[in-house]
Amino acid sequence: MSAGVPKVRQAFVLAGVTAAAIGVLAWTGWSEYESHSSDAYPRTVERGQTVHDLGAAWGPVELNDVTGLRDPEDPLPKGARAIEAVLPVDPDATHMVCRIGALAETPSRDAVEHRPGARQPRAWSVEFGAGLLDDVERSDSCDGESSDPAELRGVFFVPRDVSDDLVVSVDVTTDAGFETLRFLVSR
Amino acid sequence: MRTSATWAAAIGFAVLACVVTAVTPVSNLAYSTNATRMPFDLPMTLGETTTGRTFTAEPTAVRAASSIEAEDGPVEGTFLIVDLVLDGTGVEPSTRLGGIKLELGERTYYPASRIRRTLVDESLRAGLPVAGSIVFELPPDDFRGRARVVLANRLDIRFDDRLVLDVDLDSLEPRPSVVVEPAGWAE
Repeated sequence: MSAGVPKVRQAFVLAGVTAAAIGVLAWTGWSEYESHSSDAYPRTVERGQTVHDLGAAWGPVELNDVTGLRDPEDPLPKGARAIEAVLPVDPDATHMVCRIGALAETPSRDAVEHRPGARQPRAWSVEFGAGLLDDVERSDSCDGESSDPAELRGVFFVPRDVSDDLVVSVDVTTDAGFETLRFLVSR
Repeated sequence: MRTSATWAAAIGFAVLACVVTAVTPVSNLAYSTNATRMPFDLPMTLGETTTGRTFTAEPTAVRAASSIEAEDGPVEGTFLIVDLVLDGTGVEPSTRLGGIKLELGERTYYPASRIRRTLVDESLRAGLPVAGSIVFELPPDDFRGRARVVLANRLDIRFDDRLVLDVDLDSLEPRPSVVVEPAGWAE
């Protein structure tokens, strides 16, 4: 600043510029949040709920214990369970590709608050060839070639101490891009 | 502060920054591409569980043999066998050890493909540990000195950890024949 400008005037100019900057940044951030908050992904769907999104109607998700359907010649470790997630999907049209991504524990309050010793949530992926001895045809994905209603089925092997509160994530690819839906579910 | 002094100080700091950058090893620069290739090595100890980001490993035995009793019959060679218990941490839904190697001086060996059903082929699921072996085949005259068994979930590790077991090959007494059990559940 030139020495001829009074310091009080400098202070007012600085305060004005600072306030304007804060105002512009706050308005930009808020408008950005407002415009995207309704379709923010990954979108979480509450327990037992259905949702219409990404070109299809989804849910509600069910979890079935299918441990007893396993081949006894190929047992799981003691206490481990085979859990099947069943997700009804009714596409509006073709060109929507989807796949069950993972089964994961929801983080405990201690984990969210980063308390020492808190167990971090664990995730498992769908088993290929889960070794079930029933006649059900299982597919964990939709290929986008049919708009008929279907059921996605994914089998997971989980340990005995798995949490009761879980989330099934589904990866969805549409013409608009790739998104994830998360379905909360309890054992 | 006078304007000339301000400029002198700014130029001085810029020159100092250039000097620090010039004398710092490239691999230690946070923004260098080399730094992104630096894995974190976690040392393993026999009989103890070491926890990495995506998996845990407990080396239970290190053996040397000139023949392995495999499912298809005996396989002759010069082998280093590392018996392990592995488990996933659940940070990633499914983990495979795609980055197993043996570093011996300037040379690198990868698991022997002649021995099947080893831990190389196993998927790691959180809470469901698996036990088995990793087998390396070496030229007979190279079976000496100190080697490093490196376990990682992929060969190209960037900003991730590797579990490393130091092995003194000279201290191992090769057995004429050993059995390598197929990998399977640890419990």
